[in-house]
Amino acid sequence: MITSHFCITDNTALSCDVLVIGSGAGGAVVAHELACAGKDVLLIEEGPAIGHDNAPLSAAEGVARLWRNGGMTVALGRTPVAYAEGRCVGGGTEINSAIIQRAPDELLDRWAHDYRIHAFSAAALEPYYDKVYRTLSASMVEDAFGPPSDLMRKAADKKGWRLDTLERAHITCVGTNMCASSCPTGGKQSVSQRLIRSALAKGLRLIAQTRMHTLKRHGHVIIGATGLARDARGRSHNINIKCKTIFVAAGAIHTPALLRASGITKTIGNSLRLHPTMKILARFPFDVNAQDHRLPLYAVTEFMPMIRLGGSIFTPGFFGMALAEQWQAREHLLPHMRQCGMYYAMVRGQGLGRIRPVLGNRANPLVTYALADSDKNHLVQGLKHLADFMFAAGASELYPSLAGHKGWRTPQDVVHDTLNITQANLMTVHLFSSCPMGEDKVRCAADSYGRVHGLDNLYIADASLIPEAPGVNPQATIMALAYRNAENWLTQHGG
Amino acid sequence: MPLLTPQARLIKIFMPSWPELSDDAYQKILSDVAAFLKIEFTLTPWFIALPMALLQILFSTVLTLSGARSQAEQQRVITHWERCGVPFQAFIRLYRSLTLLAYMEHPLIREKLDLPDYQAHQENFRAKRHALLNHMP
Repeated sequence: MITSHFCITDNTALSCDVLVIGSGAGGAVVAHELACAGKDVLLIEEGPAIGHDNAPLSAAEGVARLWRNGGMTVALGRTPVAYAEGRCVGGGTEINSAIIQRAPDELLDRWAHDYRIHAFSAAALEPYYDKVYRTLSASMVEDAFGPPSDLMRKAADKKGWRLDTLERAHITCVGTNMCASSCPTGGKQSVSQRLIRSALAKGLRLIAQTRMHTLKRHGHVIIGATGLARDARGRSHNINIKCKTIFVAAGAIHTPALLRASGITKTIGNSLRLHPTMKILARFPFDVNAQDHRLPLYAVTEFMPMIRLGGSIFTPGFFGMALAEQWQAREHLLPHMRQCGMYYAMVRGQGLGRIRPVLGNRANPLVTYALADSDKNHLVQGLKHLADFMFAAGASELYPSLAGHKGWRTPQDVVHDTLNITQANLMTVHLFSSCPMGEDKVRCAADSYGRVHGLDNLYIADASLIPEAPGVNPQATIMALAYRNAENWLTQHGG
Repeated sequence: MPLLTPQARLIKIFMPSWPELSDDAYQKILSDVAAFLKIEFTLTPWFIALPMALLQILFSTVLTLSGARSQAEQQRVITHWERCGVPFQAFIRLYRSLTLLAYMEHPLIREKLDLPDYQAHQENFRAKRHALLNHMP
């Protein structure tokens, strides 16, 4: 139910006090906080505005309408990593499962020390995390979780492994299982639902379908940005925006790409981190009907901080995609969709990636990523733990996302399997750290409050700032940092 | 029989033979899956789209030259090429993935799977949530 946004229909010049580029978890918080403080804020979003009343009907439609590049995004490398990003008003919060988690305390405290981040610690971030939880109504789902979750509970009891219940940003989630394609009921509390709508009422201006491609610089000051807007007919129009302050919140890939394309390159886009993830398609000797239920609302935290096990959104289309990974070995599962479920092993990646804009194709930067040796070991361990876990849940056949793999029928098959991770079909929905924050100018792109080193009025407000992989869903951390940094900016600029 | 484009020809090979469909339903799904893939390829970054386009032409040529006529023969040709290296494997996996995504989410397949119609599904859930909200203190 986004209202009052507008699209550009001709070449346009605009001005504002604060320009925010990107309307995801970070950009929406900054736009909301500054607009509510009475600032003249213009929020630009590359993708369309989609309210829950016109949410996509199917997962396929959702992927094409809301996911960047229709979901065809990949970090290249020896083992490529497919990744997903939201490209719509609300960004990733429109296509994620709305799982809200704090980064581990010891990690936050270590980042403060290692990256020399001022006034930063688990205790210092606590009030901002609390604000995130309040804003998004983060809580446990109250009614039955459903069989895909129950199977995890059963396996955890059997193995004696630690299992956490996941809190989600929701108000009366009724379990449509459509989280990856926005929420058709409005139960999921995305940032467009909770922040952008109320900021619009406070005078925020929102322009959708507009991509900013260059920041204009004069000495140590950014004086504006230029871009291309698309109208309802798909025609492009130039847009020039003058501003006094600019927050770039285009995500861990497109924020560094925009900065680098604008000639701002020092420590920008050299340290991308992510959570490499492998999935297992599990078949049970009974109906699970995962397509009719919520994604599993538990996570196995027994092997944290480096490895986490959980469950994925399961729709007929995503099931089909899982079969396509190794069609010959999985084709026979097609009529048995109701007996299947999808689970994952996620690793706190230590590898590094780079983002580089491509001349003549600014919308699609080149992303590369190299797994660290420790990532490979953790992925093998994680996959074997997950297989062990799913057999304990009662699975009769398991198919890991490894090219050419024939699947496992017994726990012994897993024990004796030498897994070759270079054959893995890796994916991730968590990307960060491409412009880390801190006073260590050799490693950090931005200062302790997100201001880009060496520039007076350019700020970053998204996952790029998170110094390292947090090992948990990053949305709450992105938002907590954005609340903290917006508050600091308002203190300095008379908020 | 209408002449198939290279894309439609590949989609036909990757479309599963389950569940059983009438000719009309099959043609409708084939055409909708092709339309979905067309949209996807327009959204794809150049460094994926370019090799995809080249491999699409290559596979179409290979299928013609192989003389494989039946669906089963053509599938055997594709399976053989799938074992011939990572680029071919990746191309086939991606093509099949997108085909199966659109195929399995198609309303006619959904009907065959005894899943509720999309519109009705969403309306039911909206009504359910509305009722819950009305009972909230």
